[in-house]
Amino acid sequence: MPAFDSMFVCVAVVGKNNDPLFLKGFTDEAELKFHYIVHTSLDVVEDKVANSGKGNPEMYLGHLYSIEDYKVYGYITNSKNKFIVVMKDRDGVPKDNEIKSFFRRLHVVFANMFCNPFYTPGQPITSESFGRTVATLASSL
Amino acid sequence: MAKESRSREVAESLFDLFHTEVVNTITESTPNQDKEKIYWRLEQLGFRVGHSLAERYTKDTARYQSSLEVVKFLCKEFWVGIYKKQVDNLRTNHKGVFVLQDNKFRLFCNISNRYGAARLSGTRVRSCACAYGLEVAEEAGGSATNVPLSPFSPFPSLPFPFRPCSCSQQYADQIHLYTAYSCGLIRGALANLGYIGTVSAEVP
Repeated sequence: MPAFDSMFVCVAVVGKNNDPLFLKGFTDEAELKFHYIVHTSLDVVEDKVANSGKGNPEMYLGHLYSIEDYKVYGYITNSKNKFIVVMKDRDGVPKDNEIKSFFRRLHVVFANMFCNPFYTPGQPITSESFGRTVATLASSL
Repeated sequence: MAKESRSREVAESLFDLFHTEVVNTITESTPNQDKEKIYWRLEQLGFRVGHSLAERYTKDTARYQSSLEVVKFLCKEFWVGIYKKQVDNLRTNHKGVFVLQDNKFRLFCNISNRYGAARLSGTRVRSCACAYGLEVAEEAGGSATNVPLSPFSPFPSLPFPFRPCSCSQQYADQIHLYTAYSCGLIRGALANLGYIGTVSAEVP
């Protein structure tokens, strides 16, 4: 895995039944650690969704929680697919807007991949071009 | 350097014709012309498409909190995206049954009228569809009957009646098949947004 000098350490897509569809780490850490981090973030996501009762809720959920020296951000779509992003906690923390725009672009890529007739909804994402596009998006921040 | 890409256009009529042909092909390729199987195959087609379209069209909207908001999305953005118009009437019994009424369903709009183009002011008549001899009227309104909830669906049954002339009952069976794809579309979109239900169409 090429070492990016970006903040993103891991990007994950979780399906509506909380099943992991896609997880990509951008450092040399073992993937199992990221699986664990993303799994614990799902509780926080459910919490936020349940509590966002009144008003017009947004898809972007914001900063979910921090663990060790990582920060975890979340985004949920109308089809209950969740995008989780794990970032390294550095001095120059990127602004909310940048993370929001990253999630928007990720949503576009995800919608394109979803419409691919070779993809069965609910199955893990095996499309190579999806992986490459996500890697490019992540490295652009 | 990305060039300024001109938006590419496709004729709308292509889909109408394609849909007619799809129904034909599936009817012919199903052994024994089993009506139920044909309906099911067409609905499954629509299901997958509806699933994906819901994903695409909800990209820029806010999150939906209730089933009513989801159905409103169906009536507005979803219907506009597919048929270029909104659903004309939405009714609910607040217990999970929704009735969507479309007075001028696009897929039937261009099916020719036995009495010629004069009856269908404002709608084009397609010569290739003459064989079906179906009649389409564009009077507004129409009674809608609520379909009771099936015991297996925790969520809504959504019949959406169209409004062709009821003088010709001869093709009632066939027109039923032409609604299969659209029912599947709606069911797929609902499923993606988290609501399992049954969708049936009624053509009075």
